Amino acid sequence: MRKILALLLTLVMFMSLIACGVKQEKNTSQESTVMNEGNNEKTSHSEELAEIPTVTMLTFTDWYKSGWEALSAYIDEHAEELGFRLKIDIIAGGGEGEELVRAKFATGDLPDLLQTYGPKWLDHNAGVLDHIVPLQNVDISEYSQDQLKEGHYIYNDQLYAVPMDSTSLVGIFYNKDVFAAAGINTVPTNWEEFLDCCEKLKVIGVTPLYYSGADTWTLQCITHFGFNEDVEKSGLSYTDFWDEMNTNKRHYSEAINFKNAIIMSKEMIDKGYVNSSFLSDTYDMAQTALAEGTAAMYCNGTWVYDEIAGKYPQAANKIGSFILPLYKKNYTCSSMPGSIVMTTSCKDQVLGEKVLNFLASSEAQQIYATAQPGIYLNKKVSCELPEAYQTLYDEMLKGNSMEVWQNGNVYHYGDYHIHLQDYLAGGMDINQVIELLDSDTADNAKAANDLNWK
Amino acid sequence: MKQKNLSRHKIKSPYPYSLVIPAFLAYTILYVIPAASGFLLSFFNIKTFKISTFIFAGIENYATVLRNPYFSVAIKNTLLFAVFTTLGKLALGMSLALLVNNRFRGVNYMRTVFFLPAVLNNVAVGLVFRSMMHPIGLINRTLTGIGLETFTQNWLTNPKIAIFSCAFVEIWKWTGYTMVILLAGLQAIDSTYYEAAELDGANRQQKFYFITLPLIMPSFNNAVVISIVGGLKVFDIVQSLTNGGPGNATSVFGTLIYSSFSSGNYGRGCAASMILTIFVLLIALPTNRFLSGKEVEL
Repeated sequence: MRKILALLLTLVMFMSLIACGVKQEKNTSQESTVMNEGNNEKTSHSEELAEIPTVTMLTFTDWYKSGWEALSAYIDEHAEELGFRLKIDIIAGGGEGEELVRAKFATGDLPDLLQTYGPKWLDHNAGVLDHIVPLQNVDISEYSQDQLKEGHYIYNDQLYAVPMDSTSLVGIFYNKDVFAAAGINTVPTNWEEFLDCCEKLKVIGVTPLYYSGADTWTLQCITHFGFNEDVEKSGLSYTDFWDEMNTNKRHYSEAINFKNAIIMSKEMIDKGYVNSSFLSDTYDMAQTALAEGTAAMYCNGTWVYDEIAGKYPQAANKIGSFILPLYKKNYTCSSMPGSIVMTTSCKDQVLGEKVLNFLASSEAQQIYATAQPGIYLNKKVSCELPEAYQTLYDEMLKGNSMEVWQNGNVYHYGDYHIHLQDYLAGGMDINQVIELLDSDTADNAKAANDLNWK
Repeated sequence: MKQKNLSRHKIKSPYPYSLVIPAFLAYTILYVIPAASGFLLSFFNIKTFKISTFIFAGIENYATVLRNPYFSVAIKNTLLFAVFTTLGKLALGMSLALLVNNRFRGVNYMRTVFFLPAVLNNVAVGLVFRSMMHPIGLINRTLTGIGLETFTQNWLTNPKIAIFSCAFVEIWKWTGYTMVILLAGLQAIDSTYYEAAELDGANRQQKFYFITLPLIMPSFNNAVVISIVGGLKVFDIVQSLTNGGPGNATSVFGTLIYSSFSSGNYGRGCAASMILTIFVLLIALPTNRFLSGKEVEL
């Protein structure tokens, strides 16, 4: 009996393997989506287009939203006309994605194109600028040179990257229905009003301010506003401020407002304005809480609106935004769109530039922007901004925006997000958090043989 | 004299050595060379694996690892984790082994069920338990449902208990494996020892302490060393459950090494790995030596 059972099982397994093989064969001759372990590969195949060359690209999963979906579908449909196909590999986002990118550079396992934080990040955080190809034949006439320099697409006077996606702005995103239910008719404009607002929200039984501490990077968002104040108070421009930080003339320990913003973020927990399970709660859970109205406010970048609009379209128009009113003059923190660079592993660099030329064009950017409205650098792109974007964008246009502090440093400051979580969990004191930023920066500067830290 | 000649003859014969060559080559290529390379790399600042970009750092990488404010936390947690999980796995593994060493209906089924967690992927197990141990996850909901609300906890985010929650998952996963090792030892004991003891009037406890325990010492030693080394090298369970958090409350040596590698400091990661190797050897070797001395020849 056992022998018959074993024989039957073997037969079933054998037949399954044959079936899988046949299915795979069929898939290669028709449109398909291939899901691989660790990353998703979205690619189109067709017999007719077999001779069209394919360019590979890698991006983070949280950057592959409706904009990319629309654009990659367009490229698939028009591959013959465009003269290329684009195979996009998607890897984890956040810290894990950064680690993977570093490992890929270290081991030489690179795609043709790579969407990351740009040449400056690749230079200072991964030390791999020599693996990036300077772009000679990409048309950037539809862009402002100043913006391309500010966003480090032009780096060391050389064009290395093209922007893709919209400029992100950090603010407080709130559920208008919940505010209305708590009797709050206008958004707070100073700190007292903000605390008053939290109290009213707490009374009606919702979480006033949602923290998603399991995804540690999200905890940093509130503290960004403090750094803006330190730059403002220094009387220096953002660039000059960071020149001093990057040459050991100024230190995190002197960023008093940054420190106070960290302390304030803990006070919000102590006052009971934050979800009690914040250390276990994730970025995804924050989107659900804000969309469903169990939480009233969430501090993050405009990308969180994209996520909510994608997952909960019915809640999208309920979401508004404002700048955290911590100081007399408040800034939103801006972050330029992600950069697509060409790596030295791209065998056909002429084709690589052709793809980048298309991706940078107003045609491609408009397809992307129509599917995912936002603030685009291409001057010919237009789209109607949702309210959550528009409010922060208006502040930006008034000059009330500053580049997020993490884009200014040359040497990495260590695991600030982990230390911050440790502080919020009560495991570390504020001075230790700040000291670690300085000591980790010093360690990394010394490792790079920077004489300013000798 | 005859013995000496025989030894010399044995040494001169190339045949036995030729049999060892394949294994020796595999061991050299897969273990010795990577370990030696890791040791060498630990003295360099490395951003990419291009030798021309390596910067000699002397013992700076070791100093940086030892200066890490979380180093002492990681050492404490690693030791705590290793001791707690070893005790848990051995106590439960031994109980289960004794249970399934008896003959009763369904014993084979029980053996399979107990062993099953060992074949599951660590990361998958971590993610499942992460969801179950969420403040509003299955464990707390069950406790609340049966009226034990006072026992609900922030299992993975309370810094005081998070490392024990991780240890619990490790014990759950590997108890069955320990059971199998000990069961093999139990089944190797000849029943005549027990029959003789019964004739001498020994009770159940006496049979366990004077026959079972000494005779399963080789298996027990194996289980202890595997548990300790596994506990000291823990990474995936902790990483998937807590990422070493909250903050660094559940940081262990493995997560410290991962953090060095993942931040692109490959030399520092190698230095941390070397320190872990020394740490494991310092604990595992004396333990093995101590327990080997207590083994009884069958």
